[in-house]
Amino acid sequence: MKKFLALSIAAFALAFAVPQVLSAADDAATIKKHMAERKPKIETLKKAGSIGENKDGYLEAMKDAKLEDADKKLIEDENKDRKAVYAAVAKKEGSTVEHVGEIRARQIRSKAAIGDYIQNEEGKWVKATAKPAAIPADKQDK
Amino acid sequence: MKKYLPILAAAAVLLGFGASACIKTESEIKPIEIKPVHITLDINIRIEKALDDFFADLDEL
Repeated sequence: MKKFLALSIAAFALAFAVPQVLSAADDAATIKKHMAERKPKIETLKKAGSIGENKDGYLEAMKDAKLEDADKKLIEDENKDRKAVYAAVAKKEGSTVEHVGEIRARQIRSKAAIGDYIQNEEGKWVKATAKPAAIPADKQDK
Repeated sequence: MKKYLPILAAAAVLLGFGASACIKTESEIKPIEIKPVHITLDINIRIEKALDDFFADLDEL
């Protein structure tokens, strides 16, 4: 009886302990998995001009866009996950979520597909255009 | 007195030149503090790398 009681208590304690032991890496992997799942739909909405990438590192619906509830939920979930990533990076590097978001926004703008809506640092919405990378002078053909 | 006026004036001018030669001026140039800018750049580089580490394969999809 005593043995059974001890085992029960141990199992009960373990049930609460296991979630705490899960590493941050597991959360990051889950977030990444969800982001990968959402990506095709996000790309479709971007191509349609319904959503764009704002200067804070988040997705934003365009002014006249008519989005379905499922799409609005998708954007909300994506932004929530992005914020979690920015918060983790900000905590690690001693910065703020906002600052990390701005840096990510800059990365997103540099990789944006032609025609996608992006918000520049001044807050103006523009369509992404292809910009040829600058070739250093010492590597140019003479 | 009027006879000595030019001599006095010349003496005053010479005294002025001599005094300016003897006056020492010291100016202190404070060094430009660049540490905060350097720290900001370093943090931004680390943030960029951390974001690249996380998002690189997602961006490739």
